[in-house]
Amino acid sequence: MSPDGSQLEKPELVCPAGNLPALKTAVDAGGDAVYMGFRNASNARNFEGLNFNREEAEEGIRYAHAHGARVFVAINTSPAPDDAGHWTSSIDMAAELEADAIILSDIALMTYAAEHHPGLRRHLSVQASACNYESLNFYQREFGIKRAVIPRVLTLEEIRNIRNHVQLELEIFVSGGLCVMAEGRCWLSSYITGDSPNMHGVCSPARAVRFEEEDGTLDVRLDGILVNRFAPGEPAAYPTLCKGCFEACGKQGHVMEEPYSLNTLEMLPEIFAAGVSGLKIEGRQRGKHYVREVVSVLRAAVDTCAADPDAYTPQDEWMARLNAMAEGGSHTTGAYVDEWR
Amino acid sequence: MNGNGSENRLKLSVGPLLFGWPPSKIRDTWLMLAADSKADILYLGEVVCSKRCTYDATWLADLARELRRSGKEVVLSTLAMPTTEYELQFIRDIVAAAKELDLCIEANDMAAVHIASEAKLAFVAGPHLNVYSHGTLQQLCRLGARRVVLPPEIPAANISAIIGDADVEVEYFAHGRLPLTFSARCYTARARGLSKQECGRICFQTPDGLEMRTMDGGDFATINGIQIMSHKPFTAINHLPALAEQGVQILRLSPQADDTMETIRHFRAVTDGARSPEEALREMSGGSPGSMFCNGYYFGRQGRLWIDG
Repeated sequence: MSPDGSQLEKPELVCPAGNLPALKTAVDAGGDAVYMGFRNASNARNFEGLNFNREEAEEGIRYAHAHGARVFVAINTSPAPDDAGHWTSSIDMAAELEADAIILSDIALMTYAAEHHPGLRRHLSVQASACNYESLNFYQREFGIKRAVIPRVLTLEEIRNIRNHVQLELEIFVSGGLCVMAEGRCWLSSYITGDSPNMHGVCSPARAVRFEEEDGTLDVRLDGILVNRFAPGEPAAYPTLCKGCFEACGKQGHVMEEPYSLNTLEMLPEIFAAGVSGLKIEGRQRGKHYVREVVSVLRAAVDTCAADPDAYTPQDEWMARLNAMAEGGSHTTGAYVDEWR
Repeated sequence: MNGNGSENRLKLSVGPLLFGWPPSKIRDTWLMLAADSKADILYLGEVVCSKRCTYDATWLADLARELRRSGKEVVLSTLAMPTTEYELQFIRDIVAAAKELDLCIEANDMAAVHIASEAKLAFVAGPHLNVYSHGTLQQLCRLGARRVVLPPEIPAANISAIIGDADVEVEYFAHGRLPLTFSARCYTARARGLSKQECGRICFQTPDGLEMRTMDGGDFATINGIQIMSHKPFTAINHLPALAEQGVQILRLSPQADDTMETIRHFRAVTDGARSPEEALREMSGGSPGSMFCNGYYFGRQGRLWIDG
């Protein structure tokens, strides 16, 4: 029960599916829904070796549906200047394969989807950077958006306030890599590497990463730019730009963000009480093992919390398993708690 | 512009101030820009952080009224990342003031698009609305956009395809530190060991932002509150004829603490035909543009690069 005595809705667990094995693993581990993308520039995780061709998508959607899980297809980059063909054909394919929703960020694509596939649910991608109720209501009224994924820049208090002013469903991130910028409004990657999240679905691309070791010190460069430096024996992290070490005010360190993972296990009762419909797990770039661990832990935690939120406390074992999977081996509650900012 | 086949001279705008300045400095600078500069359009208003606003929409409206006496167009800019009720109300107040003064607003978030379109107020689609395609632009025009400022990331070669047959003015981010990203976190406060809640408006101490370098001392970025910018300013001063051919009508010069008047003079000299683009670039850069400026985005390359040509 919530503090005001009303029955809490159990939000659904929305899990990452970077490829077919990960999709099946997420469904088997208890995901209520999975999200995936096609293998082209139409989705914001257009990483090497990831995503689905038509046959894989068809099999994945069939598998999920047979096991009672829903499938959301992310088509969340900006279309090319005068030819949205890749993007609209991706929307058509999602509809043909009977995906349960498409996740969009661009208003031209929303218009296309509404006109050509009115029965296909439209979700608003985190890439749309909608972080207030005026913009969410705009997307709902103008483009028929049914659910919005909220950028990882708001406190839980702010999300609760949004909830009180909108009719659409909210989905928030509960676990995984922490994109600290307003996604869809970050050009750091294109500034350094030429590859853009908005245009190419790529951030800090692997093709641009170089490791250089000298006397045990490891320099990690992205397109030649030094993004991190590790002392001998120190575990090296992937050089995502916003999590790099730089120098400001004469001090070197994580000027923007530490390479920690988002972990909200301790906040689940408050998250339930905020009235969100979807709990999103980040990690389409991660493998089967990661997906199995994180989805299983979150499944257990969400079910435990739903059964009795007042008595809920996260089990040590859950925390240990998530920390073992976490980037940097450590975690944060990110912007959900105001002190972070 | 002379010699490029375009009939109309390119207009110059001074973009909204992206840095944190005290209101008195904003007022003095914008009154000077109105009186003494050859800019055609002045954008006024906070885009990055509402904590800098020790003033309200009435203060902005009064200043806009004064600025307009110069004959220049004044546009009221709005926040790129409003999250609180206070910030949404600030946008509503600016929309109401703009309507009363018969001005446009610059919308930098769909919240502002929503509020302006409901108020039937024409707006400038700012550089943070992610207009990468013709279809996207058409939707914004349907909602009341009469001008678009393209995201700086867009290659110049894409501009004419994005514009197509849209009935809209086209403004291009032609000079200044590039806005690269927004976060909820204030990086200026963080770099100074302060929290965002108790920042004391410390960004007012660095009117051109705070430099962030790589650990080997390389050029990287500028910290500006919740925004990260390029450290080197972008400039397209040597590409103005090509931009005009792409359909650009207005060049945005993003203001900095010291050299905005000088930048306007250089651009105006080129658009008046008094200087060649190459001469103007040489004067601005002392002959080594790559050490002072970046322009990679113009060519669809890494934004940090300088590319000759």
